[in-house]
Amino acid sequence: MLNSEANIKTVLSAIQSAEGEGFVCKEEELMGEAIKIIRRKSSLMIKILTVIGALMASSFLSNFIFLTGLQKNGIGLLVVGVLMIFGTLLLIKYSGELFLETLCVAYFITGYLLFGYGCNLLKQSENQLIVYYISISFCVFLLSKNYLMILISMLVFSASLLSFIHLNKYDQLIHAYILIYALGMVLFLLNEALFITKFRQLTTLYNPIRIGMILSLLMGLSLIGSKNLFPINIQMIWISSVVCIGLILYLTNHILIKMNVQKSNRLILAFTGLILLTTVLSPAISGAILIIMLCFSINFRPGIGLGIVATIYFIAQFYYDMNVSLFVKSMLLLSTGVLFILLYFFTKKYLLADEKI
Amino acid sequence: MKLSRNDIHLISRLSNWSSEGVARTLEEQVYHDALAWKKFLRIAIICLAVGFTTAGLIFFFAYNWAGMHRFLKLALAEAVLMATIIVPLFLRLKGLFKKIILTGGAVLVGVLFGLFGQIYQTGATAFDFFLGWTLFISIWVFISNFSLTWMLWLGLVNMSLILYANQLAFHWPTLFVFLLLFLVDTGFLIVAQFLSIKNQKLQMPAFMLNTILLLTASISTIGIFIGIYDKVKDDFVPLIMAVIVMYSLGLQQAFSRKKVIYLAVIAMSLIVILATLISKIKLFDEWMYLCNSLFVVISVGFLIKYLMNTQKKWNVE
Repeated sequence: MLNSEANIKTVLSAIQSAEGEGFVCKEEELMGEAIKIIRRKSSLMIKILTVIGALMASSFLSNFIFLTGLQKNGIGLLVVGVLMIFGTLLLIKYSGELFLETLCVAYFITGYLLFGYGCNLLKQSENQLIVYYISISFCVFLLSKNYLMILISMLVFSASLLSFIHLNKYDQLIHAYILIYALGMVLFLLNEALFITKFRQLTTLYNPIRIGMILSLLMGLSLIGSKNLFPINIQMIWISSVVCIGLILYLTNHILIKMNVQKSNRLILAFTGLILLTTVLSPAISGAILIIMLCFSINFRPGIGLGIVATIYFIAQFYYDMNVSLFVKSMLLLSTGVLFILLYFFTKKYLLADEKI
Repeated sequence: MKLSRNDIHLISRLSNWSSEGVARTLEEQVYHDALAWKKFLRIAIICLAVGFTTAGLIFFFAYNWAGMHRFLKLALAEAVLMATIIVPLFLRLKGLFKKIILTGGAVLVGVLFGLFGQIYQTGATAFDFFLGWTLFISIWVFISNFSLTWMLWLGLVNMSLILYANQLAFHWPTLFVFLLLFLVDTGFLIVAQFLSIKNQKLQMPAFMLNTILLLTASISTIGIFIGIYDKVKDDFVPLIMAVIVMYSLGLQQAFSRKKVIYLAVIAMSLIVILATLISKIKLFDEWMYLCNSLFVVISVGFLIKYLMNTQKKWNVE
């Protein structure tokens, strides 16, 4: 913990001795920032409170705006929407006051809503709106450093991509979406050190982008995870599965190296691949498992939680959608269960090896 | 010196720390190591095994077996149930695994009751099904004292109550049901807190406490919300009284045990209730909405500021 001057000095000298002479650190700035961060360190609970408050306030606010008569004035809505988005962005950036965060996020969300409604009034096509949304969220990305604003913009961006795919009937492109996000997520999360040292000024963006990537991938997965949400071609579904399973195998290999398993490396990989092949018809399941494994390996708890909930949901949805009798389903489930029981006894010896020490 | 991920990010932002150095520090201090992976894999495999087997058995008995005699069906279900309880006794498993298997067994009791109802057509009310299930797993729940079984049990108690109100006690006003649910859940919390003072081992894990707190606060908030909007106001006053008493108890607990989550949940529930009240005021037409949104952002802003200060103060102490 960087909570006192003495602590900071010890940490820095430890790094210095590991790094050698070339290591330079803005020590005074670090002291100042460390104190500021302790003061502003906001937990997950506080972020959730902010989001709930902002959503409530935003619904009241949009009610108000629609009742004032502005709802008939398309250009007015556009102007107010853009002003709200960028006004709050600048306000939070230059005031830095945490007290204002709920207010800013509420107006920020409302800004997006009003802008969309305004476009609709002005008879802009959906594709135009999507392009506007993508450009706005991109600008927010460049300008803001606020966790929630970056996260919201990232979700707007991903949702826009998905609607673009769906509205223009390019439904099979969803596999490309999943490929890009899954691959991006794995690269981004595993190479944390590289990203935060390469773009030192943008380090604060790392955390919101990480959770944003996970949520965006989950959005895509949930669309192909159930039967009737998205008109995808069942013959093409293996594309996403191959992506997710491939990434899981890559990650498994990474973990095996970390666990220092020398023997039977290939065997374990083959077995993992074989088990995962049973989910080939539901890439959502393997995608969610990928999220759990990835987040566990980098110790990112919210991601693990999201992954577990998603996995349970996707497995349930998979069996619910399956077009066979209850009996066949029960046999499938039972045999999977027995498989895992056997797996438990096979791996028990190895997995318990270190316990006794 | 243990560094958190945020500390590492901060130092890296303000220095020229090499990416190899950052990677090594993250690997050593933040990421999970081989030992943690082993533990994770063990728990994951056992959870998957129990989960899939239990789900498979549920589907197996839900399938309408025309050819199978009812005796065989019941015998089969009971044999499986007994196996899940007895086999772990003889295996040399660790406590946690036995508990996970017992949770699966507790779910199977419900299957057995469902099967019984299906065969003998015992009444059309699902209420006694849930009541029987709750009662018959109680002993296991008390003995195993495992967070998942406790949560299953509390969920079943709530479910039985709701079904009783829906299917048998038609004359109960809606708000009375909310009052009962609220009292049951807060009662559970109070007893659990009391026991944890007596015995440190009975401390609830954080995720369970948070879930039950959220459940309880949602019941009271939705209850009062309905009370404000509904024309029928029977039992509204007792509900409000109960909420006031329990919330003050909760606040007292928050300060004496230094738990910020209590403060956060109770304050948020109060903000929602006040916002509902404000939206009932028919005074300045649409301007009331603006006032309300301002009220929410300002109160949440203050709440967050207050929570962070308190958290910091309590962390230091």
